[in-house]
Amino acid sequence: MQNLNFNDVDFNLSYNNFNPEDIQVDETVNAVFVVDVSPSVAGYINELNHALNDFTAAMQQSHIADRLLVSVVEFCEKVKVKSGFQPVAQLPTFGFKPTGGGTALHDAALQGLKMALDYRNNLEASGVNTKTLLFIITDGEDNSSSHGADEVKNTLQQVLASERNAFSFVSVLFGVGNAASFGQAQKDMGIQHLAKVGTSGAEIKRMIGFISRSVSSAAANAPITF
Amino acid sequence: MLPAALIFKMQMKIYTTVQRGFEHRTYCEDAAGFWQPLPGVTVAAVSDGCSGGCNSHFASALTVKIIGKIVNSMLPQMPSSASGTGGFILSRYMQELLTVKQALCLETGEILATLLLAVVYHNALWIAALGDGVIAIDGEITEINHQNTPDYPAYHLHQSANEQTSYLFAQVCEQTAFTHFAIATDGVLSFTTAQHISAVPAGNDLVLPYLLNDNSLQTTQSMLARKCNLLHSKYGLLPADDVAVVKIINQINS
Repeated sequence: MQNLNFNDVDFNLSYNNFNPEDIQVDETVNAVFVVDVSPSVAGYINELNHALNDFTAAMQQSHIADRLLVSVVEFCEKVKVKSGFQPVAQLPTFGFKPTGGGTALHDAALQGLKMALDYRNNLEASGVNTKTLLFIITDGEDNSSSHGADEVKNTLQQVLASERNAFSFVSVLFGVGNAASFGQAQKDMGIQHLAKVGTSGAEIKRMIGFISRSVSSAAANAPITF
Repeated sequence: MLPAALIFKMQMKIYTTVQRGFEHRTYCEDAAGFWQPLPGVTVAAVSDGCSGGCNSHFASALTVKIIGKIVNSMLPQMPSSASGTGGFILSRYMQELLTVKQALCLETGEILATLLLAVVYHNALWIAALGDGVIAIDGEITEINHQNTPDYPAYHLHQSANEQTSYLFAQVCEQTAFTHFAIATDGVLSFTTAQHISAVPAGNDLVLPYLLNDNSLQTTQSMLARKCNLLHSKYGLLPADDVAVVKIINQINS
């Protein structure tokens, strides 16, 4: 599977989630990457692809490989589910390319969130406990969504209101570059954490390093720290 | 055509889980293990460290490690029956436990742990219980309860061979064939809702058949852990005491 490229494959058939009955562990870490691919990301998209592929390679070798399931959503003015939740070992190579002409940040966040919740519910119904990590990576503010930020916020608040979810669901907005609106977007959507990163290769690597640590912390039942 | 060794290994589906009870804040004092030293031979063990002892988590882990060591080194002397193999392991266990106790200068209180040992030899099943626990064979569940009169193997280390033999084989069951069985520490009797910390365990009618007899989720290696998760998410049931379970499904007979 490693020689497959995300751009070669459309996994958007019922999101192609991994069958819960085929999961051999009793607890998983489900990571959702919601990635902005609007034209403005051209300056750092190659670095992002490299860093994400390094992340995938590292995770495939790690002791949590059998517990880590990854889903990928990309968005410009449209939202596209590139992959439902699949074991990290089966994750194709990342190859995001700038496309479209807008940024449907709210729609994409809502899509990622709903996918995460649906699959989480399916897993828990079959006895698998889950930790969910929602990573939203964008360099700009919303200008194309049909859904409002409040819909994202309401959905997240419902999730986090449950004690069972409060310590097993983490959402992070990565604001890449210098746009001043990331804080407002985080607040409007109710995303728990905001991390601002630069567009240099080193900064992108630092962001993916944080994601790696977050995944490892979630697997070890440890809190995620910024 | 599969090799005979592989067929025998595929014949047994083995599931295990160890869960920390909510009354134990730091350590889980139960342990479980299984081994397949030869095609057609499976050995499984669960152990419950005595909470009143010292380092009880160590005592149960030590018990399972010693059984594993014996099983993995007994091939040249291995008897050709389930009872013979089980007897060999138990008597060697007492010797090894004494050796380790002396080598590590351990107090008796540091090695107090129960042992439920199961040996499958082709289709035959042999189980011995040294202390409290639960045994389920083909749907029939037996609770072994010493009514709070603990009788750990460590208390018998300095006895004569005859005295040890009568202790080791006092609680043994044998079957010539089986479809599935489970051995569990007595923590499996302690499932209750977490809010009722001192409540009488109310869920045994539900929990024991579900965990020990029911074969659903058998396609996943984490069957027992997932069932524990479901008992919690659906019914709010958690074990108050630590639990260790080994369940084996004999695919040829089932």
